[in-house]
Amino acid sequence: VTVTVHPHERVGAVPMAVRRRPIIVAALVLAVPASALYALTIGSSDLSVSDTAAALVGAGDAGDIFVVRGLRLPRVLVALAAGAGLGASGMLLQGLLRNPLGSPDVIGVTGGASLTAVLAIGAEIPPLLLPAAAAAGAALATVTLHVLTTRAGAGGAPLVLAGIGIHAVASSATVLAVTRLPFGRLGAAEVWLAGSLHARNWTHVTAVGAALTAGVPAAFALVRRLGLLELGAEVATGAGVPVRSTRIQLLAVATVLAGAAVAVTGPIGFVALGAPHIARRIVGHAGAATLATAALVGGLLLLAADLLGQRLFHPTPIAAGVVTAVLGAPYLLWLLHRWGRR
Amino acid sequence: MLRRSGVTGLAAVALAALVVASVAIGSVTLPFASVMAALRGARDTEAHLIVADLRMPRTVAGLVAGACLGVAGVLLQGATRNPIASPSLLGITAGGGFAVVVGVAFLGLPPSMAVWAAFAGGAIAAAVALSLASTGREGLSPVRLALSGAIVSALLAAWTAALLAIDQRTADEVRHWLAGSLTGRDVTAARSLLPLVAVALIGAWLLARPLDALALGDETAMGLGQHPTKIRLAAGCVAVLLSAVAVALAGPIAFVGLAVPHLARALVGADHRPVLILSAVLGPAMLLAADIVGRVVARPTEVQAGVLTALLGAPFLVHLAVRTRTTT
Repeated sequence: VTVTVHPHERVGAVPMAVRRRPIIVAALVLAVPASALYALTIGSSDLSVSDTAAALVGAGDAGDIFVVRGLRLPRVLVALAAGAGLGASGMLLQGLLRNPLGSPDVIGVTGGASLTAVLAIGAEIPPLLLPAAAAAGAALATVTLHVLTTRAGAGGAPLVLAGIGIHAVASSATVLAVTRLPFGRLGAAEVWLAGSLHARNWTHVTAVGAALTAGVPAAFALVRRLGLLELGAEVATGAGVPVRSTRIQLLAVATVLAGAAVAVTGPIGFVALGAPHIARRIVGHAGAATLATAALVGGLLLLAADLLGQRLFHPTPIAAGVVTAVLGAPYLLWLLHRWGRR
Repeated sequence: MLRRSGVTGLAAVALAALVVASVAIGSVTLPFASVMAALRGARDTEAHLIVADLRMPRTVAGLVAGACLGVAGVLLQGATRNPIASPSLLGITAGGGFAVVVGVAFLGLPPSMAVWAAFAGGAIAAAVALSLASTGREGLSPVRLALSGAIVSALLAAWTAALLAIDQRTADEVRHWLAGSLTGRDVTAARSLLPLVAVALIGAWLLARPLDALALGDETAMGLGQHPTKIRLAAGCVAVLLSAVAVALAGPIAFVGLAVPHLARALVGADHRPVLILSAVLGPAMLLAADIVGRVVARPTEVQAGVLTALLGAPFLVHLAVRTRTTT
């Protein structure tokens, strides 16, 4: 059963002309390998497209093969996977909170991950364990949020407000932790907090890939109930949706998706907020199709941000998280302008 | 009436005790007698140096910034009729902080201009957050307001981080300021802002009655001869100005402006005049208490006051959230 949802108010609710939809979706799907291939060609030394393609399939110069497969491919895959996780997580949270401004950045998931990551950097744990520490922080923040709001009727409002409170506690504790870091660890913490894809390896790909393998099917399994929930708890109950357990599952899946992303990249702003809006502009409110598009757009956004960061002030790299935040603000103002007109 | 004066009097006594403690307690332990001697004007002693040059300025900065934040919170909550409104949750603090980093650290504005940079940045951030929040049919619900402010703050924090990532030298200078600290304040800075604070506080006092009328609803307020839009605009401007003073003096301090008005209303009722007075006392009390605790919990280093107010104030937001049973 396909349920088309038109909740009380939604940003970008006016989808593009229906007959243009397949073309745009096809273009987005094609953009993934195209931009990935371009991303594989650039770096400290640029390769030609044919050399890159050859190296990718294991032919050609041994040095090229190492650079493309060992260094650049994991970075591209992490960008696509983390972006997809953020986009899907944002879509679930915007539905769960019934608010177009919902995202893991504001309800404390990202803040919790940042806090434990900085503490882990201070404790000088091996860098390979850093994603695990960050994921633990994301999970801890969500569990706290759930425990605190479980008695408050668990509607959207307490979740949002308590989440903002948890984010504030986490981020001020992060500030505190950063100021007490030993001098030599400060740089590592600041690089992580800027949200960077620099020097990601296959371990990161495996980590985020495993989380997405569990999280994405779970998200698709929840998307129909999410659509009913967006119409209000009464409607959902009437349609036989167990509201309470669905909300808990949505929160858990959104945390797994965003937590995995943040764990391997550091805090990346705006992708989780923006990708669902862009997806709804393209395919409208179409449940599973919107979720898939949000993930696709999220992956492309993060990959594009990383490419921009590498190229903009070449040879000085800019962290992808900085690029998304800097470009996210004008997009937000544009959204605002559109809302104002309607 | 008696109860109100009693509560306010008690709060004032507590504040006075905190002022004394703020001058007497620090990372260096001084005998109380030598602190008093230093205050009476015994010059050229180590105690005089510490008390006059270090502890007095931060105490004065804490008094002024705390009062500004408390009063700004009352005005914002009254003008928006929204229990969540406050300088930090509306993005005013983040906007002001970003503008100060850009203006003073990057464009080389003199420090005396910091307050105006903070005013401009705070006003723009608040305008963006409010317009983001008030779109849509249901209007300005607490949740929308909080989310909009949080997003504006998050983006501004990211922009600030981006600027600091580019310029490492500035990053070292402003990192402590950005945590919201009262250390290293200059008494002249607080003194030069006093006329501005006085004007803003008089403005706040004059707005108290109109805000009382507004609390009855826009239509009733209009029936009473008030102009709701004008009142909101005036209260917003005064609140942003007060928040800007606090940012210029103490950096981004979160949650004082949220928690203090609630505490004041719980103690003296909903009328704006007594709430304003009590908030102007409780604000500095909370900020000074945070500052004093920050000096002693992590000796020999200090924890910035802004970190402590957030650690204490954010659970208060969670409490408000859990109490709010309205659905989105």
